[in-house]
Amino acid sequence: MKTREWAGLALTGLSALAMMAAIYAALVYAPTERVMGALQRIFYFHVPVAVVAFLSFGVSFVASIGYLARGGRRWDQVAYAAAEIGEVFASLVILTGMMWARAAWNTWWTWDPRLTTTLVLWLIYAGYLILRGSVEDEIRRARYSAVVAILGFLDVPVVFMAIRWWRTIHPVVFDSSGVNLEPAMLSAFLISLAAFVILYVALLLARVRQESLADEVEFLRRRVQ
Amino acid sequence: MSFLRTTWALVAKDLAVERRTRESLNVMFIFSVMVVVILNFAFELRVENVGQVAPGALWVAFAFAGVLGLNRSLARERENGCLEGLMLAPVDRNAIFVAKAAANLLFMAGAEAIVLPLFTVLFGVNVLRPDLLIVLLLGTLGLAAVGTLLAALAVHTRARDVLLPILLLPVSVPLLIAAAKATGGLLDGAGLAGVAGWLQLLGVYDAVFVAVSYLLFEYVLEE
Amino acid sequence: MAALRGVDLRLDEGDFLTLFGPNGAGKTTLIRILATLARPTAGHVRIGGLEVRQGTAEVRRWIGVVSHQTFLYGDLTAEENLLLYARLYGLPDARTRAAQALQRVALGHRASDPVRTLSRGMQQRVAIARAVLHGPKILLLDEPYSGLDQHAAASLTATLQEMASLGRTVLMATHDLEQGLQLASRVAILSGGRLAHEGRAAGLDAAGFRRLYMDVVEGGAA
Repeated sequence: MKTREWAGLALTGLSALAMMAAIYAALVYAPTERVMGALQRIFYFHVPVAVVAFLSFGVSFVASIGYLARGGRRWDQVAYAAAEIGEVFASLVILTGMMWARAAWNTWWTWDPRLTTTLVLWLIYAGYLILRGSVEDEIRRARYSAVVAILGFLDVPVVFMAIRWWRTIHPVVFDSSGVNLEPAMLSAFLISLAAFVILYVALLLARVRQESLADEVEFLRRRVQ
Repeated sequence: MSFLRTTWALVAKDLAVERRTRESLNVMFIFSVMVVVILNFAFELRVENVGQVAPGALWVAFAFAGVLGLNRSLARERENGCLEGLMLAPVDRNAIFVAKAAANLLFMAGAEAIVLPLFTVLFGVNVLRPDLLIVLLLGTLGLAAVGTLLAALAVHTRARDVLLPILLLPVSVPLLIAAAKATGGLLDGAGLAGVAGWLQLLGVYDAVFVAVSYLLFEYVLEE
Repeated sequence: MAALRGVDLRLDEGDFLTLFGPNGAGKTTLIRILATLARPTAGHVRIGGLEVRQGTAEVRRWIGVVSHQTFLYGDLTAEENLLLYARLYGLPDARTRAAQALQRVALGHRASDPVRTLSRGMQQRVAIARAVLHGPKILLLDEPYSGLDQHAAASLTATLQEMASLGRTVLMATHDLEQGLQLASRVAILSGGRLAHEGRAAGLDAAGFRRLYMDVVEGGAA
């Protein structure tokens, strides 16, 4: 196998290990929280997943700018892969958020700014994915997607501001006075965060590689015709 | 040819087409009325004071009607390749965006002007007041700018008309929230000072997104 | 998956080049690039010594384009369409020019009719009028004869003859071999994105050229 494939495999293995460590840390190692009990452990998944989702959309944003500025299929591949993976992670954020809300406050949805912003972002990138499915010409598709990704990502802070002035219920874990988490909890959180970031990188690389392979297949198919 | 003259020539062109067909205006007006009526029914059965939901209803109507108007406006440029015809001319291509967005703004504003009195009657809420004009202007400006960019993009895809609302509405969430909130505040008697925060948000949204749409439009024009 | 590959072409002032090639050969792409509607991913385009980048407004003043799309607003009248373009090109006496242009394609009597109400052939005639309105030095045509009735085709040929006699430069893409050879001073064949043949048109007869065309297109394709 080529080095690239070895690296991919190694990364996958590493993320599997990291994930196991994270699960252990979140479910066993971290102490049970006073107020919310075992339920609070969702936090160790919900927040890192949210971080990765936004990170991914950020990657898509940068790659989109790169595409418009430089051109070249690679930028488009990264922009697309990052958007797609971001969408998956955003879905997870919303789902875990709903689970938490249901268990903690007996309601399926809270119009909390962070969660609602994620929902709007989810909608924006759903549009992105539908757009991609709707344009056949590769170059047009890449260009239009880049425009939408840039527009959408710039919207995020504005969406957040708007919704925040509107409602607030989210438990504040990170506030200006510092992090009100016990050291053990903080460790668990950081382990989980690291694990998800490693997983993300593995996924992103795999997805981009997949797009490259799909391109090659398409190229060969056309030559045969 | 100077930027301003080009823009004016193109806006005049859009006005001429609209004067002849009245397509956009008609469509937007009728659709706004439909949305307003339907929402009225929807809320009447459960909501005590329909005036409470008036601001939201108003902006929902404008947003959806705006989408229709935008689609029509850009579809017209796609017919016969007109947009490319404009690109062939020795004019600043950014003027094409400014002219299109300005024309769309005018049409949306026109439709809104007709809807407001009707809304007053149906919802029993007086929305014919000068301080609302600021909110209407800021809100419609943002929708027109981003809408023009996204509509230009959408008409070149297979999904066409359907794609615009999918792309535009999520992106315009902050604008719609701010506009609805500001409208509500004014109707509740808060005065312009009272809704300053929301107006600021509208201003920020417009400043950022009008500029971004202007910059990104050339990428939508390219082959 | 490139539409064009290594196309190296030079047109001198007064040349009338007819570009032949099967569908998908890249003729439209080439014309769009020359018309500043598309950007090449590699290579240069120079018109009148000026490097053409998509933003250059001045170069567009020298170019007129006729394609199977008319670039006309269906709801505006023929005259209004020409007036718009006259203004966009910054032409003085816009109204007179527009009227004269319509006369020249024998459509003066339909000047006040919305373009939508005109037949396809008539619309194409207005499109031709639009293309030469600003007196371009270079005329680019992409399959201009497709779908035209006799009247319109004759009008087009007349316009092309006029352009040729005025010493203007013309590049016409077509797969109509007869029409293409009539006025050409040079011919070229584009196949699979490559310039497969290029040469003088003098002395070429339709039959001979057809054989050459078949050879090049069938033999050359990868």
